Order: sequence, then C-alpha cells, then structure tokens
Amino acid sequence: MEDRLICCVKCEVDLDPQAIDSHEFRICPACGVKARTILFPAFYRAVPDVTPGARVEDPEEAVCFHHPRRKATHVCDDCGVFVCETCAIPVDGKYTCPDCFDKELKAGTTEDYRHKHILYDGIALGLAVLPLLPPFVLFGSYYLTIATAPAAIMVSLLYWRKTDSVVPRSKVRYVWALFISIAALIAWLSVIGFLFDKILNKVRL
Amino acid sequence: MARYRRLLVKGMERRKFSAIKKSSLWLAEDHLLYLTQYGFIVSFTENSQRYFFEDIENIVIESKPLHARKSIMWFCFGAINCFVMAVYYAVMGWSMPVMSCLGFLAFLSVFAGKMSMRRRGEGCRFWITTCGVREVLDPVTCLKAADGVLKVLLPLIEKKQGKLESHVIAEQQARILREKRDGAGTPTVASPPGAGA
Repeated sequence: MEDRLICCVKCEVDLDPQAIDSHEFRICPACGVKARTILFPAFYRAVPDVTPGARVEDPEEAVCFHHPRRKATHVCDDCGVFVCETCAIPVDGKYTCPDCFDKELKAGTTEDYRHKHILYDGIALGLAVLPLLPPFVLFGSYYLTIATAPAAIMVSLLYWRKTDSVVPRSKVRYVWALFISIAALIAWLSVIGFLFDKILNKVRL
Repeated sequence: MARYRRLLVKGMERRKFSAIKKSSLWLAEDHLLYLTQYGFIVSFTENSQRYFFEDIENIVIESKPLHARKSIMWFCFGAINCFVMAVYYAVMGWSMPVMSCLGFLAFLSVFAGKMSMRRRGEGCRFWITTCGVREVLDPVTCLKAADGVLKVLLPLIEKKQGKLESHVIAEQQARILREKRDGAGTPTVASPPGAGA
C-alpha cells in the first residue's frame, strides 16, 4: 500500500482531507476550482517496482538483446532473443520483445493492444460527400467528384468486408458512399454525353 | 475482442461533436472505452483508450460555469459564417435580402447554442485517473450526465476493487498531510484504509 495525497486537478495543490470522497463539491483553496473527488482502493495500491533488469556480473551470463549490460530474464516467445525485465512484454500469457510486439501490432494479430484504427467507411463517405458540401461547392469543388467518386467506389468495394473499428459499426457509410458516388458518376456521364451529342450535332451541321 | 455497448445516460451527448473530433464512451465487461474519432465532418481514424475498472484510481468531477465555452464557440461560428458569406456575396454583388437572411441564420445558431446550454444545466469536466493516465472524458459535459455516468460506473468499479469509506480516506489523508507538515521525511506506510472486498 502507498501513502499518497489527493491533489487538485488544476493546480496540483494537496487537498484538504475533508474534501475527499464527499458528495459535495469543495473549492480548492489555491486556484478556486470547484470539484468533487471519488477515490477507489487502486489509489492506495502500491505501484510495481519497474527498475531495469539486474546488471551482468559474470561475462558468461546471457544478456539482454537491447541492453547489453543487463541480465536476460526472459526469452522472446516469437523470435527467441534474450530480453531483460524491462524489455519483456507480457502478451496473452507469453513474453515478446519490443520488436515482435511492434510487428504484431502492425500485423493486427494483437488486436486488443491496438489503439489506432483507420475507418475506411469514413474515408469512402468523405470522398463521396465532402466535395458536395455547400461551403466547398461555392468554390467549385463539385468538379473534384470526377476523381473522388470513382475513388470512393473503389475504397467501398475493396474494404467492404474490413471494418477496422473497435466498436460495432454498420455498413451504412459504405452504402451511402456508393449511392452518392454512383449518382455523381451518372451525372458526369450525362453531362459528358450531352456535350458529346452537341459537338456531334455541330459537326454534322 | 471485447464486446462493447454504448454508455449513454440522460443529459449526455450521444457523442461530443466538433468538425474534426468526435468522442464517445463505451462499456465492456471489465473496462470503459473512450473512443475519439478524427476527420473532417466525416471520421477517418479513431483512437481508443481503455480504462480497466480494477485500475481506476479516482474520478474527479470539476464544476464549470454554464457551458461558457460552447456558447462562445456558437457565437464565433455564427459571426465567422456571417462575415465570410457577407464578403463573398459583396464581391459577387448579390443583394441585401441574401445577406440579411444569412445574418438571421448566424444569430439563430447563437440562439440554438444558448438554448442547448440552458437545457443541459450546469457544466462540468469529468476526469478519470488510472495508474499512468489522467484524462478528461469529453462526452460528459454537464453535471446531470456526470451523475448518470457515476451511477453506471461506481457499481462496476466497486465490484472489482471494493469500496473505500469516506471517513477512512479522510483519516488517512489527514495523517499523511500531518506527517508532511511535520517534516518527517518519507511518511511511514500506515495500515491500509478499508480497501478491497
């Protein structure tokens, strides 16, 4: 267990003990912020000691791949390199080195550890809709749809099965992107057809 | 992967929305997910942060004046909108009715902002702290919503960690403060407050 003091969220001044875990708002004497604090037992839980691995004393001893002066305590379960206490990352009941962890993150195999995701449905919808929004249309952005509409269709079709979000997400954005892009393409084709027809008529005359 | 359901309580915004950032809260069996999506009007990427119930150290609700920032934002939006349109139509040589119409729209947006401010009541910031991170949860913007979120979160956190009694915390904090003031150096580790189930 640790002895810690609760401090103000703004100025970090130690707070009056009576202000802790009350159901009323109390004012910080230093900065005047009115706040209510709810404490949980984890606040007093001892922080684990994260000192780096022990130094090597015997030259015969195995050393960490990343820290040649530190004693190796684990072997990476993926690539087999020796790693010290600091470098060993526990993932799903096994230990990996930072490099393998990075690779797994990029490959998406350690899905639960990833915290950045690309929303392809949002990109498709953006490509379809943004050039048609009123503020941009004033500056002639609708001409861009000749390039963005096929791009939106391509993104929608290529990533239809891939929903990269952590939370449940429907396909409605893909559907709208396809609908708007196809409509834009039809409009462009009609304009081109109309102009082509006019030119042909002129040539015939 | 964990299964999520959206954390929605009375008074809370479905998602805190701005043109480039949207954020929302989701609940899983053992953690709270704070999801932030970035883009421009439509979201292109998302960042997620997980707060495991057994790691949450404290929650601080900071009271704020009546959504002052939001009201200013609405006003600025209206004013900029009005200004840009006025310049554009002045250059294009359009007539006054269009401009007066746009001006009306701008002030209507300010009015809408003020109305939403009144409806939501007193504003707040909802801070959550775990071992290494202290973060403001953006979607919780008013006290009514903060109370609702607490009603959902407290039983879940207490189920994992147990409960701390107020008087025990007060005693513990007072003792540490006293030791600090007395200049006793590193405070001695005292018996734990009624932690754990």
